[in-house]
Amino acid sequence: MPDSTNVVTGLPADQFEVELAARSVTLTLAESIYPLEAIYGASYTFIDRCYVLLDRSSPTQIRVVVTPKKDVTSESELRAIAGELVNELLSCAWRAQIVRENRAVIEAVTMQAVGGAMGPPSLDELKDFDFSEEPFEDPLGIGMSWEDKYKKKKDEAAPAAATAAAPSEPESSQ
Amino acid sequence: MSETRVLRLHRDLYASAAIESAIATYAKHATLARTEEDPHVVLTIASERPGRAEKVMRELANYALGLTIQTQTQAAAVSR
Repeated sequence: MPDSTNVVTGLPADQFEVELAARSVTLTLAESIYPLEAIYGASYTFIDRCYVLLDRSSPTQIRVVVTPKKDVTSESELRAIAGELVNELLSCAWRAQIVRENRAVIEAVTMQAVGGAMGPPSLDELKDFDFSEEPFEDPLGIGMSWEDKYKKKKDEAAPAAATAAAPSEPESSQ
Repeated sequence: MSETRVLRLHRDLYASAAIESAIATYAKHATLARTEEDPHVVLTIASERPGRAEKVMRELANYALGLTIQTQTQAAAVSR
């Protein structure tokens, strides 16, 4: 096994290093791509079988050093750990982004569940409830009530019916 | 002959309470000295037994990281 720092093939050279001398994998990650919560999440899945040390290499970069607890005899094992860690990082970063994007929906569903567990609202609570709040965009009008959707047509139809009925009145009066 | 290792924990990445808790947990396994070198907390770990300082350093870092992550996760859950 070579006693030097190597670049893991197939991964960005400026982000990943394998230090075989110290039996460790060092990853330098841009925080703009992998947020800290994703790095925490990925690190947590490794601390049962690896020693994980975090440090800041620059204000925008975090260095992750992973050293397997058991003796690693080949470079391929370190490569496998590096690959697993990168996959886990990507998964955690993606999950963090999904949570951020769906936070409003998650909160709405949670509130509905909690509200349902509290029982039906009283008449006073219904009276004070603000129905004007719009939690999501509805360009197709799916959430619109039948009355709201056809209100305009009804208003347009009323004068037309009135004008159609008007000429008949003088005839009936005669 | 005493073996010594130095562990540097960045304050941005490790919660202070987690570092203190880790020091308290591992102090009985080796001699620990704590100093501040902003932005790091620097721990000097010494032990007479061969390999002990290295082992304590790595386990202490893992313990502090685990506690930090658990604290952050709980804080995030409460804020939601």
